[in-house]
Amino acid sequence: MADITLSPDRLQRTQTPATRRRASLRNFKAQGLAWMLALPALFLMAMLLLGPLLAVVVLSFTDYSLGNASLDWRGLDNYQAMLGDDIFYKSISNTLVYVGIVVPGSLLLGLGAALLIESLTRGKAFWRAVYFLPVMATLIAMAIVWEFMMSARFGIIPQTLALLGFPAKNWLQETATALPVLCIIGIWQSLGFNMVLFMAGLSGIPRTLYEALELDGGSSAWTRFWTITWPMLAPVTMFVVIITAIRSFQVFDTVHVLTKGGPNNATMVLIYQIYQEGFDFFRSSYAAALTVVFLVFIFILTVIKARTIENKVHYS
Amino acid sequence: MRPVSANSSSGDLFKHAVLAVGSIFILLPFAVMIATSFKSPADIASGALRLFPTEYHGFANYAEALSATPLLRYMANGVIVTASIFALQLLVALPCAYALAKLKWRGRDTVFGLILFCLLIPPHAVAIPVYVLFYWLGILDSYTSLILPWTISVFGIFLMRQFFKTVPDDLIDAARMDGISEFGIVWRVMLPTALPAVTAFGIFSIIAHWNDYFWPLIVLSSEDYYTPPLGVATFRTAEVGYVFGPLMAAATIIIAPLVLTFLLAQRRFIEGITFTGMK
Amino acid sequence: MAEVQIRNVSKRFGTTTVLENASLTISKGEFVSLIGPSGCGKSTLLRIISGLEVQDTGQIVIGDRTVDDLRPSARNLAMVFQSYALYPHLNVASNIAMPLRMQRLNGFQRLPVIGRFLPGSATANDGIARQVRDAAEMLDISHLLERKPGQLSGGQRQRVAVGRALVRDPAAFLLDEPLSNLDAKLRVHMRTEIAQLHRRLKATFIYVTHDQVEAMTMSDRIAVMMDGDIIQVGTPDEVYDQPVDIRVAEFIGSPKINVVPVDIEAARGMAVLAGAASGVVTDPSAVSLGIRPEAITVSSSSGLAAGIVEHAENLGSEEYVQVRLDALPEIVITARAGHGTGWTRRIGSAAHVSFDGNRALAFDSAGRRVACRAYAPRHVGGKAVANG
Ligand SMILES: Nc1ncnc2c1ncn2[C@@H]1O[C@H](COP(=O)(O)OP(=O)(O)OP(=O)(O)O)[C@@H](O)[C@H]1O
Ligand SMILES: [Mg+2]
Repeated sequence: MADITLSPDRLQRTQTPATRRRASLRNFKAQGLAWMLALPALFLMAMLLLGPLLAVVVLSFTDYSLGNASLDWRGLDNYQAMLGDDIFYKSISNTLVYVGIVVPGSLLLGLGAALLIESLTRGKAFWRAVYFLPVMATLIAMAIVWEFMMSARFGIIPQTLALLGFPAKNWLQETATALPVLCIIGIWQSLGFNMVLFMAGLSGIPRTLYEALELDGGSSAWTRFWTITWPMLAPVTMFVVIITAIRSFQVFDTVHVLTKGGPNNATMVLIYQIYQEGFDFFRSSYAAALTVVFLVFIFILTVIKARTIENKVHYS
Repeated sequence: MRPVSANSSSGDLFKHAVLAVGSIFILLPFAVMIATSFKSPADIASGALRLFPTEYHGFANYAEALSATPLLRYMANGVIVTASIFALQLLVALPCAYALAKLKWRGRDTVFGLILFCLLIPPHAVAIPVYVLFYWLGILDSYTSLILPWTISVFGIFLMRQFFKTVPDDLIDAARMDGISEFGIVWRVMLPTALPAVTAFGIFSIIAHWNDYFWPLIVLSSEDYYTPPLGVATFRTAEVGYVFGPLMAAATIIIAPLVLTFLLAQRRFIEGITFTGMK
Repeated sequence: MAEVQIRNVSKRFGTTTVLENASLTISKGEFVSLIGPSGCGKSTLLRIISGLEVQDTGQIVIGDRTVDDLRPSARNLAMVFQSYALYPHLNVASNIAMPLRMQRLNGFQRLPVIGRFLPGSATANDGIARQVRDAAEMLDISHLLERKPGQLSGGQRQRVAVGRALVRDPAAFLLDEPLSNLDAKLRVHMRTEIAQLHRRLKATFIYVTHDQVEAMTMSDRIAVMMDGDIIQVGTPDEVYDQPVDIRVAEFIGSPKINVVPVDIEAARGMAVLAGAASGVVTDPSAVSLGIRPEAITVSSSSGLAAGIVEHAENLGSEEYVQVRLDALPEIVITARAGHGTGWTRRIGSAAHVSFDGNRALAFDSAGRRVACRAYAPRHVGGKAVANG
C-alpha cells in the first residue's frame, strides 16, 4: 500500500501580535516615505497655486489695493463696477474676436502645412523646421520686428501696400486694423505649433486604411481626405482648437509691446486689463474680479479639453 | 506614398511651391530682422525695399546693441533663471511623480486629483496674489521672485507620472533588492529611464521661461535681473527715436540661442513639443 | 547560503486572501520549486520572502534570523525576475556591479566622476570589477560587458540577470519564472545551465514556475501551491507518483492524468469502472481513480473497457492514443503506446483499454488521496478480502 505524504510542515497556526505590529510598522514607514516624496510639491502647490487661487476669489470681494495694510469686505461691488465698465466690455469682446480669428486661422494654416509637408517625399524636415521657427523665437523680440515692419515710414509692409495703392499708414495705430494685425501676428506665431500636433495626429493614422480605401476604389486625394484623414484627425482637431483657444485667451505680450491696448482701447484684451488694473493702477481687488471672469472662461475650455482627451483615448 | 511616380514628382513640385509661398509669411520677420541688423541708419531711413545693405554696418549695430544696454547680462540672467527653474522643477516634480506612479499610499488619489485640478489654473490667474505675497515677503525684484513661482510644475508632475507608470515594477523591485533607497530610485533608476520624457519636458520648460515676458515684467523693477525679453523691450524704449539697426541686432542676439539650438536638434525639439503638447 | 523558513505566512490584498498560513522549510543548498496554476500566489510568496511585500501574519526566517523587519536589500537575497529587470541605461558590467556598489561604496563614492577619486573607492571599485569579470566568465558573457541591455538577446539578458544575482553571494536565490520569456529551445538550454549553476554554487534556490517540466527536471523538492496554500511538498518522484490531492495529480504530469469516476462494490471494496470490475480495491470513500497515461495499455483485441480511438499523436519516440469509452461517452482516456505502434492510422477504429492496478490512485469526493491497491485475492478464513 502506498504511503501518502501528508501536508507540509505546519507549525503553530497562531498569529503573534508582534508580527502584525511589525508589518504595520513597515507599512507606516512606507506611507511616510511616500508623503515625504510628495511633500515639497504639495507645499509649493499650496503656496503658489491653490492658496493664490483662493486668494483671488476672496480678494475680488474686497477693496484691497496693493500696499494697503488692511482690507474691507465689499461683497459684489467689484463685479457691479465691472458691469458698468465700458473697458471691460471692450476687452471681453476684443479677446473673443482675437480668439475667434486666431483659432481658425492658425488651425487651418497649421493643418494645411501639416498635410502638404507630410505628403512630400523629400524635404519634410526642412519645411517643418521653417514653419516651426516662430514657435521658438522669443515673441517679444519678434513683436518688435513686426512693429518695425509695420512702421509707416520704413516698414516693409506699408511700403509694399503703398505700391499696391493703399495709404502708407501704420496699421497698428489704426483703430480698425490694430486688432487684426495682432491676430495676424498671433497666427504667425502659433501655426507651427498646431502643425506639429497635426503631424503627430497624421502619423497615427494607419496606412492600411488608405490602402483599404484604394482597394474600395477611392483613390483621389479629395476622397482620401474626407473619408479617412479628416474623421481620423477629428479628436486632434478638437484638441488643437481648445489649446489654441486657451493660449489665445491669454494674449498679452504683443499687446503690451505694440499697442498698450490702444488706440481707443481697440486692442484692450482681458489679461492686459488685469495687468493694468493690478500693476499699473494697483487696484488689486478689481483686477482679482477680472481674473475670476478670466478663470471662468479658461475652466470651461479646459473641461472641454479634458473631455476631448478622454475621447481620444477612446478612439485609439 | 502614391504609386504613380511621375504624377507624384510633379505634384511634389507644386507642393514645394505652395510651401515656399507660405514661408514668405513665416520667414519675412526673420529676414527683415537680420537684414536690418546689418544696415546703416541712412539705409533704414530711406525706407527702400532692399534686402542687402548698401553699406555694411553690421559690426557697428551689434556693438551698439551690446554696449547700449547690458544685453549679455540679460542673457546671463536668462540662462540662470531658466536653468534654475528647470532644475528645481525636476527636483520637486520627480519624487512626487514617482510617489504618485509607483507607490501605494493613502491619500495618493486625492493628491493626484489636486494635481489635475491645478493643471486648470493658468499662471496669469494667480499673478496678483503671488505678487502680493512676494511683496509682503519682500522678495520682489530678485532672482527668487523670478524663479520661485515656477518651481512647482503640476504639468511636469503629471507628465512624469504618466511616463513613470510605464516603467516596469520589476525594475523598481530589482533596484530595491540591490539596496537602492526610494529616493535613490527616483534619481538613479526613474530619471535615466525616463530621459526622453525629461528631455521633452526640459525643452518645453526652457522655451516657456526663456521667452516669458509677463512675470518678469511684473516683479522686476531694477535692470540687474532683467531677462532677455524685458531687455529687448527696454532697449526699444531706451533708444530715443528707435535706432532700428541696433534694435534688430539686439533682437537677433536674443532669439539666437534657442533658434540655433532648435535648428541643430530639430527632431528632438519637435518630438519634445509634440509629446508635451499632446498632454 | 542558508536555510529559509516560511512560517505560517498569510497575505491578503483587500478582501482577497492570496496566502493562507503557508509554511515551508527550504534547507541549506536545496533547490525547491514553487509550482502551481496562475494566480495561486507563487510570486506573492516569493516577494514576501524577499521583503518586497510585507506579509500580514507569519514569519520569514533566513539562517537563524527572523528577517521580517529587514529591508529587502538587508536580507541578503538575490532575485531574478521574469522580465529580467535590467537597468536599461547601464551597460552589462554596471548592471552586474550595482548590488556590490550599493553595498561597498558610500553615497559620495557612488557619485559620477568625482566618486572615483575619493579615498577607498579605487580599491573597492577594483574588487567589484574583478567580481563582475568572474561572474561574467562563469556565465559566458564576458564579451558583452560593454553592451546595454537593449542590445542583448533574451537569453543573454537572462544571463546578465543571473549574473547580477550571482555577484552578491546571497543567502538564497529567488527566481520568479526566469525562463518564461524565452523561446522553447532556449528554455531547455537555460534550464540545464541553471541546474548546473546550482550544483556548482551549492546555494539555496527558490524557483517559481508554472511549468511542471522545469520543476520536475531541476528541483530537489517541489512545493505545489493551489489557491494560496502549499498542498504538497516532496521530491519530483513523490509528487508525481504519490500526489496527496487530485489537483496535484492533475497539475503534474503531461499529458494529464486520466481521471475516471468509479463506483465501489460493497462486498470486496472493488472499484467498478464503466460497469466492469477494475481490479483495484479502494477505500470505500473513493469516487474516482487517477491513472497516468503510461499505466494504460491500449489494445485492438481485448481489455477492461471498450471504446473508439478518437485521436492519436505520434511523437516519434512514442504515441499517445485517445480512446472514448463506449460505456462512459464523456470520458476520453489518454494512453501511452510504444514507438511505431501505428495508432495514428487506426483513428476511428475500436480499441480496448486496461491499466496497471498497482499504479492507480484513488481520490475521495473532496479530491483527497485515499488508499487503493491492485486486487490480489487473499484467502482469510475461506473468504476473499481486501486489505485496504
Ligand atoms: N498588488 C496586488 N494587489 C492586489 N492583488 C494582487 C496584487 N498582487 C497580486 N495580487 C493577486 O494575488 C493573487 C496571486 O498573485 P501572484 O502574482 O502571487 O500569482 P502567481 O502565482 O505568481 O501567478 P502567475 O503564475 O500568473 O505569475 C492574484 O489573484 C493576483 O491578482
Ligand atoms: Mg507570478
